[in-house]
Amino acid sequence: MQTETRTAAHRPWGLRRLGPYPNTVKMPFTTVTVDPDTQVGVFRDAEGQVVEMGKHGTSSATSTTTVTNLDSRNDQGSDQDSQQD
Amino acid sequence: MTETDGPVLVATEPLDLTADMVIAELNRKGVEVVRFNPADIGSDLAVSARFGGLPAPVVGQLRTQSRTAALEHARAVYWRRPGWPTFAHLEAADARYAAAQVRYGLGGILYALDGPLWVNHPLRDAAADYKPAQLAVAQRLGLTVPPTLVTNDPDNARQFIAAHGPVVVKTLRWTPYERDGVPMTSWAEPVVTDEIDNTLRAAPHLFQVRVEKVADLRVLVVGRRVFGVRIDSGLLDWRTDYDALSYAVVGLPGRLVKALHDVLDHFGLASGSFDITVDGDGEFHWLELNPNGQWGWLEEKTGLEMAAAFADLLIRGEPDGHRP
Repeated sequence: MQTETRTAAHRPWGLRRLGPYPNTVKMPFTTVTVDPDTQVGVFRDAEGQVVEMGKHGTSSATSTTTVTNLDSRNDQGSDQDSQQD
Repeated sequence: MTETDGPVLVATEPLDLTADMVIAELNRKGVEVVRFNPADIGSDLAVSARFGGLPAPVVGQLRTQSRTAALEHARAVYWRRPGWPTFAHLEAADARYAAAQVRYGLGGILYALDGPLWVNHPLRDAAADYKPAQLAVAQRLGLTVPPTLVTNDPDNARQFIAAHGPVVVKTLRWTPYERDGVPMTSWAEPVVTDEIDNTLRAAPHLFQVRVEKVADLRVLVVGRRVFGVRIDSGLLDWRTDYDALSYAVVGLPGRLVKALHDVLDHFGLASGSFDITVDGDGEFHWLELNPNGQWGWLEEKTGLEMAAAFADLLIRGEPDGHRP
């Protein structure tokens, strides 16, 4: 079944069905740290000024890049723990 | 048993506005939060636990840069979006070793705790993340499941599409993916027989009869609380255009609510986000469960007090003592 073996080495059909995210959101911060008193994230811009994020960027399925998106991972990817085998 | 006044542990990366919403509620209610990210292991995150030779089966401590938690006193663990260390500076085999020790050491200590309420337990999340398992469980528990085929056999796929079309294809599992620097993902899309070829053999794919829907539902369950949101869009996959969506808070029939609770109980989950679709007769059709689904944007759009519900659950558990 050499043909079958070679076929299995192909990139899966589903990869051709992937498409880009429709929207990516630029967020005005460069660093985020956890506030020692409140334990919530503190966002700062390039000048070190604190940026108020509110609830913006909590969308569910935009891009995966954390530099352009805040709460950006898909439902399934949202727990990085689940990327384990 | 845990002491009821212990801290809530929140496992997530620093960039997590949804976790921030819940932590802000916990702060408002005067409950101590110890936030940590496993990726910080090292001088910024230390863990120690003792087993054997003591009255308690496990006694331990988790220390971050700002907080220290006695693990046996933790009242709940909110498992949101933890990052794990990759040890990218090490050689591959060394990195694999180091990463596994953190998973099975830090992760293992946490999993050894039976006192806290887990929202959700990551091993339960992982078990529930298999769509074929979800489909079978949903039908067993009385939900209507669209005819679905999971196969890597091109002929079976073509036959299914020909017999049941229109059919959509969905991914079995999301993975991070970039093409030429552009992040990509899979979208529920119609598929016809001519599009199937032998590359299907490389891996199983999921084909599902397209429900003639009039609207979608996103249902967030937090413990015993149920938040139903109807999403009207005219889109096959509403994730493709958030600007096109309108949201309405809806009540759900008791039998649907019971079935969703049963699904969560089956998988041992305290919370989950369900995707349900509604046809022209008002019938509900199961699509999927996202055990650790996103909901922050829904609170923003609807005003439903989801973060407060999570905080209440983490603080008090269920009034009836129910645990997943």
